[in-house]
Amino acid sequence: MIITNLEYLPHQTISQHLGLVQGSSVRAKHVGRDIMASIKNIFGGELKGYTELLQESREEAMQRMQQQAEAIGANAILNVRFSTSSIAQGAAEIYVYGSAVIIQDNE
Amino acid sequence: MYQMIFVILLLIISYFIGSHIERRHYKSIIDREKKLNKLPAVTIKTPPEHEKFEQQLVLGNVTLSVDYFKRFLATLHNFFGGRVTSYETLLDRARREALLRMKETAAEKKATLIFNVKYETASIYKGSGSAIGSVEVLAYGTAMIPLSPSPQ
Amino acid sequence: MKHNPPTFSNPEIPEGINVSKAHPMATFIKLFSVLVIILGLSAWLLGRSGEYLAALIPFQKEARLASSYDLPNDSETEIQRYLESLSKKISDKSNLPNGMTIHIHYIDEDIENAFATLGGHIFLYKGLLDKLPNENSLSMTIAHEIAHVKHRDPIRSLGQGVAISTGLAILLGSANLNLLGSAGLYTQLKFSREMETLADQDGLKALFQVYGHVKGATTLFKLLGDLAEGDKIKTPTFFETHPLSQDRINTIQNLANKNRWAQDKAITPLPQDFKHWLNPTEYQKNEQE
Repeated sequence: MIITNLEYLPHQTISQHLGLVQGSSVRAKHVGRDIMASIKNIFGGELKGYTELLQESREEAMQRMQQQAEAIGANAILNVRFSTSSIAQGAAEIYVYGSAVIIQDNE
Repeated sequence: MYQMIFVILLLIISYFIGSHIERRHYKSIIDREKKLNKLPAVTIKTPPEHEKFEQQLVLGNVTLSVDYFKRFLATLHNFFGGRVTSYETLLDRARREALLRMKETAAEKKATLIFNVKYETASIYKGSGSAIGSVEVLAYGTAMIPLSPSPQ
Repeated sequence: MKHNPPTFSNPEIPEGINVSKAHPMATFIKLFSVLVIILGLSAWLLGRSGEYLAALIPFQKEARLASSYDLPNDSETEIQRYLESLSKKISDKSNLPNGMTIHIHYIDEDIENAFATLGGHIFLYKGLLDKLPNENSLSMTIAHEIAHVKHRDPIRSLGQGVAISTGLAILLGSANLNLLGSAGLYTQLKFSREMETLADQDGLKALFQVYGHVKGATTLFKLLGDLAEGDKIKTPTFFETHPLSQDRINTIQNLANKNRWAQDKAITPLPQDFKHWLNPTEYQKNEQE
């Protein structure tokens, strides 16, 4: 499975467009991370707990998107985009979407 | 009265520790940027045709928070309006750090170019909505990994 | 002709283009001092105008506003009756405007305090009365509080407070607008030093009108000052709101000297049973022994 945010791939042609595939993941940090973060918030600097949480969340969302693509028989996802929104206190939604396609090598 | 002393103490401590952290961060950003200089990242969407590459999505993210002193300063800026100088370095650091992390992942995969770089910025809400001051930046793009042996 | 593919390079960009050069501490000090000046000025202006507007409220309206709140039930005790008659004597000589009436409330609590509040209500605490050596000093205390009522200090102070808190709440966008306050109107209001000085002067005048001399006035303040000196940890509540300084005693002294008000006449003692009225149970025990 090729996942890329390019719109086309050189030396390869798209034989079939399979429409939009998407993955999303909503996660909240647990209390311990929140407490650590509020201490870090005083002095500034990186909030490692949040960085990791969002990273894991993004991986999960991408996995879900890939699952969708596999289910419909795609072998690549093009023009992938991410979006992040805080929907509630301490919870963030990670959303990833792209176009599922079937590509073939030229010649 | 005690509350005021506490706030003043917190302002002073967070000013010194916060600016120390910021200086150290900038130093590390500049050092790593020099190291990764050989790996250009561009926002161009059309990949080069002359060489064969393997394409892979690469990500880099960071969550940074501003210190208490700068948050206090931002509230003052908020009152007068105009340029909120205390958040400028926060966003600058976060964007550069996220890009660096993306480049580092790409470098591990032996990529030589990163195409179609995009940023995604989100403010992290913690507790009440007014307590903003943390920001998450995601940088992502397509790493171009040359297929070896390269053609010709 | 062969088309050359573009080359990719990554030259270093100079630092500090996206970041202001201003030092954060310098910016902080500049903004903070400007904010403090603005807030201070607007608080002062608001306070002054609030005070001015509140003083325009007729006393009858103020009394009606005050009567809608719970007043302590004054029991028909000797001490209450004595204090009422004494305050009547003083208020008759205080040149109160028409329609202004004084209500005295004796509070049986060991707090060294006395204060005037809305609607001409004056509260005298047992703790303070216990410390007073003679009737003149008690009269000075009452005269001082009556002068506050006469000058409309309670409503002016309230107007000032309401104006400042409303103004600052709007300015700072604070959500909890607590105007008249849940604390109620029978809590003590803070008077300015200027108000205190004027109340001292008018109180002293009334004292002279009643007794024909002003002995006991300065002794009251000196005595209270000594009390405060001797007990540094537990300052009498009276001083938290009535800042006592040598200046204040001097002002009284000067006023007395200027008007040639005698200060060395005989003092009027407190009624014989005064201590008994204050501490009925203690004295009953003593009598039984």
